[in-house]
Amino acid sequence: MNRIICLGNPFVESDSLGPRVFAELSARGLPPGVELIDGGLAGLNLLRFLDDCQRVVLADVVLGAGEPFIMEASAGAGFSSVTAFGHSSGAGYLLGARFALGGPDIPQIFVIGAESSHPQVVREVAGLCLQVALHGRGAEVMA
Amino acid sequence: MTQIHKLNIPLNRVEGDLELQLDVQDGVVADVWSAGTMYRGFENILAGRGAMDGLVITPRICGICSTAHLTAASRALDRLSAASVPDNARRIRNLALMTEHIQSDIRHGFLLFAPDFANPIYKDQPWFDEAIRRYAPLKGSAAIETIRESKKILELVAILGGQWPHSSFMVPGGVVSMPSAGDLQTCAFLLENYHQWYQKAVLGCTLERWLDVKSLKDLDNWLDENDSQRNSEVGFFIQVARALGLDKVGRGWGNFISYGGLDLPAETSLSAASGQLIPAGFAAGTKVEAFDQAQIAEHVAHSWFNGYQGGKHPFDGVTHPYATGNEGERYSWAKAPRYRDLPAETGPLAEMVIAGHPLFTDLVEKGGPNVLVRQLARLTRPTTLLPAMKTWLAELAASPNDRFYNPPAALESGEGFGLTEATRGALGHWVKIEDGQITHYQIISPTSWNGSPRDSMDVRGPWEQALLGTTVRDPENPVEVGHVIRSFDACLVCTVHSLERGKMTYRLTV
Repeated sequence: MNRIICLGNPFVESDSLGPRVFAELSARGLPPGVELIDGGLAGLNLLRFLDDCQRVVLADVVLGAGEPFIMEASAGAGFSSVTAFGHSSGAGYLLGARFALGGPDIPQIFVIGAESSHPQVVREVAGLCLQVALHGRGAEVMA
Repeated sequence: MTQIHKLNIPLNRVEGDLELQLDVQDGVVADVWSAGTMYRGFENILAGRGAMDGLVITPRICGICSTAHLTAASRALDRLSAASVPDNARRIRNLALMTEHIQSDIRHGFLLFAPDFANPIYKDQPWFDEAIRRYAPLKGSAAIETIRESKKILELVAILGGQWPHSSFMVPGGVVSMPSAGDLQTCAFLLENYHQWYQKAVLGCTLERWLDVKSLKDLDNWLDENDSQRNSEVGFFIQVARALGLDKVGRGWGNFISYGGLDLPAETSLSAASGQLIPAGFAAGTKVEAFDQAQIAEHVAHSWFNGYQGGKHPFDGVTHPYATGNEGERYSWAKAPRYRDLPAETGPLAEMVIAGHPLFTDLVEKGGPNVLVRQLARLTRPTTLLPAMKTWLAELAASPNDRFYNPPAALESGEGFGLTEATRGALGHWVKIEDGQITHYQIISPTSWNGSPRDSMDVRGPWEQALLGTTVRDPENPVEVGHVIRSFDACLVCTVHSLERGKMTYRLTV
């Protein structure tokens, strides 16, 4: 099982990329073996979705990202300056917590982000999410 | 020469935003204003909607206390519709809410409160390195274990209620699903694992040994008894809190309120005189009196709402936002709840005092409410909940074919209130329905009690009062303010900005 988790707030334009990607992928339909999660603002409560799968793709706004990009997360990558638990901790804390917990079954985790939530960007990010969820590393070349 | 600092400390909280304004004279807090800086409007969103909509909308008020809001909303409709909630539904509702409590108590303890012990201001303290080892974000042993254990135990709510947070499985008359035998076995496994970890890591002893601690003297003996207890999370917390004098700061008004919660099933092996595991009450000091929700009123004299004189009961209350611009008089988007016109703090310590818990009664009688005793009550609250959770899970497993739902009367017209104890204390919903539609909804959350602004008599709210006299050694790093506010578990992640005479000098994410 591979999983796409879309993060953000649909009511805040500047944070709406994830929910828009969720809507786009919901409309397209998913291939077998890919699960789609509306992660919203659930933060650390998404931790359980970073288990029991081979590959996870997080779709989220990344300020300053410019063009849509793909990053593979790994332990010690320094995801965020926010290392304290709380309401503002976000995806960086979530990823940090998953790697801090450790264990042999950490899935491959990718973050696909862009700054804009323009419809064209949403379609592009949605396509990348699917490609990476299905094929993992190297998917950006295929996309 | 007297040195006066004016500190504005914005506190980002889950229910909205909060900001503290402090006058600090010669390094001591001389006055405080607690300002809710965000109008949320949930009560007005609910007006005009269907009678059951509160069951879906109000759990969205808070990502941490969503089960508590669902509990209050369903209890209000239970009352309105004269529903008879079956025993198994009571057990399911209680188990979900208790799980929310025991995961939040440790997350607050080791991810929000204790990291302040690792603040660089304490780098010369002999316990500082150990505090770093335990509480450093994403690295400390207690921090990582808390993330792991709170994640696991929350699965219990997901099994019983479909999801966590923001679930809507409680309805007037019961709950909407029946757990299978396998579900209950999984719940029992999760609960037992949490229980074992909590005993080993947090207490350093069994629940039974801790429950034998009934006085300050017993507490000192417990601390000296062995290394396991002394080096446990509770043991380390007590030693550091005493070293910092946290048993002498954050006193407040000394009034406590609990709405009561966790209704006992009609047939259960547990007993409680009040019929609830957590009794309702009001206490001035440790003098407990019966609770009457009719004595609750909300004041708006210092709040940005259309004004009225004195206080209004939530059934009569109105929520009409109105920013006057008169900053000197009105300073908060939060109202000021009062009980018999008195401010009162709420939360685990209030629950313990009102329940007559011998240890916390003794601690409050000897030293008044303070940061240490407030936080100790929270860290050890699971000791009073875990045994009851196990009992109710076993009773559920023994009665799988009993009812989980009794159809209530139609929700056409009427009024009802739903009261419970959320993780952070007293939570109430008051609702009126006409022709199947909500015409009136008022909510008072625990942080509304603890963080209220001044009332019509210009009396400060609980944590406004508790901060008076707090020493602030470094205005650029007011960690002492954090200790006091966090002892109330303000349901927030605080980004603390100190503004010294209008200039931002420091930012601390806590």
